[in-house]
Amino acid sequence: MTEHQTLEKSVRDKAREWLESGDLKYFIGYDKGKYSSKARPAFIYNAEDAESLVVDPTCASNLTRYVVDEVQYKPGRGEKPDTRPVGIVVKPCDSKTLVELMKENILPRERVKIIGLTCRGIVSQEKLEEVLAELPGWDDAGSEFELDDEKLTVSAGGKKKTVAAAGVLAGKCLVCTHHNPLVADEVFGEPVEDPETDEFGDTRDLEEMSQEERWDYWSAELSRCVRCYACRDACPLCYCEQCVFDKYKPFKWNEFSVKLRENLYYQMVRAMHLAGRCVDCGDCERSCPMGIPIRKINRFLLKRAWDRFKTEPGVNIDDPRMFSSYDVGDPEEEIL
Amino acid sequence: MAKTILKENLGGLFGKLSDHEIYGPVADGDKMFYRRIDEIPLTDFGNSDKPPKEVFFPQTETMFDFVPDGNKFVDYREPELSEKPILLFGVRPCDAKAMIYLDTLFGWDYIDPYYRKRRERATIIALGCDVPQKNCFCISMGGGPASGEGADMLWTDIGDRYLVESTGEKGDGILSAGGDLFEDAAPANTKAAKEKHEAAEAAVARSLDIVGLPEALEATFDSQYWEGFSKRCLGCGTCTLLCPTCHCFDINDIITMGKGRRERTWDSCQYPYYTLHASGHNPRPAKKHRQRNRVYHKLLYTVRNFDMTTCVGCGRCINKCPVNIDIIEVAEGAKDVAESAKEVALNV
Repeated sequence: MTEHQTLEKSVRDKAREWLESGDLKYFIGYDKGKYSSKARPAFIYNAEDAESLVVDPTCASNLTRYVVDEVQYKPGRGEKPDTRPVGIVVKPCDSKTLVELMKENILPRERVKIIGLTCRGIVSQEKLEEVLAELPGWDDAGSEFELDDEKLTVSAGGKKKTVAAAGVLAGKCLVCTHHNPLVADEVFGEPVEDPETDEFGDTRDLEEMSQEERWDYWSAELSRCVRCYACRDACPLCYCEQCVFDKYKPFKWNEFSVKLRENLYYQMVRAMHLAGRCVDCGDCERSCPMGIPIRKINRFLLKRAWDRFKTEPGVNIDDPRMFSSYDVGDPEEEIL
Repeated sequence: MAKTILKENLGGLFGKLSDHEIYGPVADGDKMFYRRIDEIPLTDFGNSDKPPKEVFFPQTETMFDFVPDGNKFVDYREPELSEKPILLFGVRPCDAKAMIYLDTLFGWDYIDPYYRKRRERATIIALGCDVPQKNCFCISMGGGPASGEGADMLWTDIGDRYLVESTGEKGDGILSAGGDLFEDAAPANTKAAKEKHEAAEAAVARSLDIVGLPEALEATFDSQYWEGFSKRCLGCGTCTLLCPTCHCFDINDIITMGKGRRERTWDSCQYPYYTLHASGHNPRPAKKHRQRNRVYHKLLYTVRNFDMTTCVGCGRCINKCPVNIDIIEVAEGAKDVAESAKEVALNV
């Protein structure tokens, strides 16, 4: 059995065990559709359906967003609230959002039972498409993926192709410093060694730009935005029950108009609301239909939080929250 | 009679059509759009990320400007729309077919003046698909990679030139404007185009059998089925915003510093606010209702109202969905549900 198959079996067995015991409402994991090899979010209610769960390098979605849906669910008239925990499988980056949700008192620890996976990264769909253009059928159901430290092997339609891992990994995985889950009830997978520090080397290109260059860069990128708000909808930490951009009362904060000014304003407000909270799970950028490099903003948020306050969100549940804690030694240059 | 035009003469043709506003496929970042162009457009592409409907129906457009005075308008002014003819070049056959639906809808019970004014001035040149994308299923939806339906001309890439076929008066207008840039097609050209068409048709990998689908959808309205897959929906509405036939919009008055403008912007049935009543009641409160509405609109309602599916099989909603909701899989699933419900009913 390959490493992924072993992991997959452990996840299926554990999910089945939890579901059979009856103290789980449902289990959130990944499965595959009839026509695609891309893993997608799946909700498993019955123990016998646990067989459909998969674990492989295409498990890209951050599933913790659905846990927020669950804890914010308001039962209808006459409906009895069911507060049994839900089960979930998380990659280390997703586990950071769980930590952050718990820190912010959105998610009570007892509402979730967590399977944590150690992780060597997931593949970026776009990069994979470029690299595997000549391997027909790789995106059809039934293709298999195997990732180790150096390479990704894809088997599709009887053919096999190996490509360098660095060429197909998602951008967030290339700078990841946490390859092991930070909160979990069960951990599966061999421990993976973490690099020591985050150098934020990927933020340098933007930092070296002049103000005008940076303005031009973001103007070009954000003029493509169609304001579907997929970045907000995919984000587990964008959990406001009513988003400021959907509000009409007491007045509308921004215009619906899809134009650069409003697109910039939206993305700036989103960034401010996630400063010191965003753990760079990357689901915003992955969900963007227009390929806007939203993670570049997230990386700056992380870098600023680290430079100024020596805090990294999502790592430790007992850490103080950046915005709601105060220390006399805090730098003050950001106070308006 | 089919004509041909050398690829190198495309610039010359656009020069002769300089009285036109020319729109064509352009790259922006690694995405593709239809925008005003001055230069030679992209011709080697799969399909655009944002559909060409925005040429006639922009995502945001000002309906009129006004100066508010209490509950009244003073100084009401409509925007001046250009009178120039429009040439929309390089639309893929699926998106050209989508225009037939948009024409029907915007000229149905109410004739939309904004859409109409642009559309009437426009000539659409469809560019046959050489390489259908992995989630294309246009043939199942009554179109095809070499269909000129909805366009005024169909161009086919045959190496150093295009084979040019006009389907009506507007297309003939382009032919006469181009003059000697267009040559009569040799039999070898027509043959090459035919081979291209056949190869492209064979390369459309996906399909959806729509026989019995409207009935199956009608039968599953109350089914639990819709809850299953829509639980993973994020509600971003990308499937609708980037759909070549989705046409819903929202109207807002924006008043600042004593000046106002009434603006319309694309809206989506995937957003809870789309159906929210002033009373607070929402007839489509959950994602299952909204996803069901999308599928019904594409594959049932317009079949009943206009005798056409609103889905043209371009595959954008499948390609762009961040959680892999696949309209083919969803429709087939609904058929299976209706089928098994029928069997249960017969056994009782």
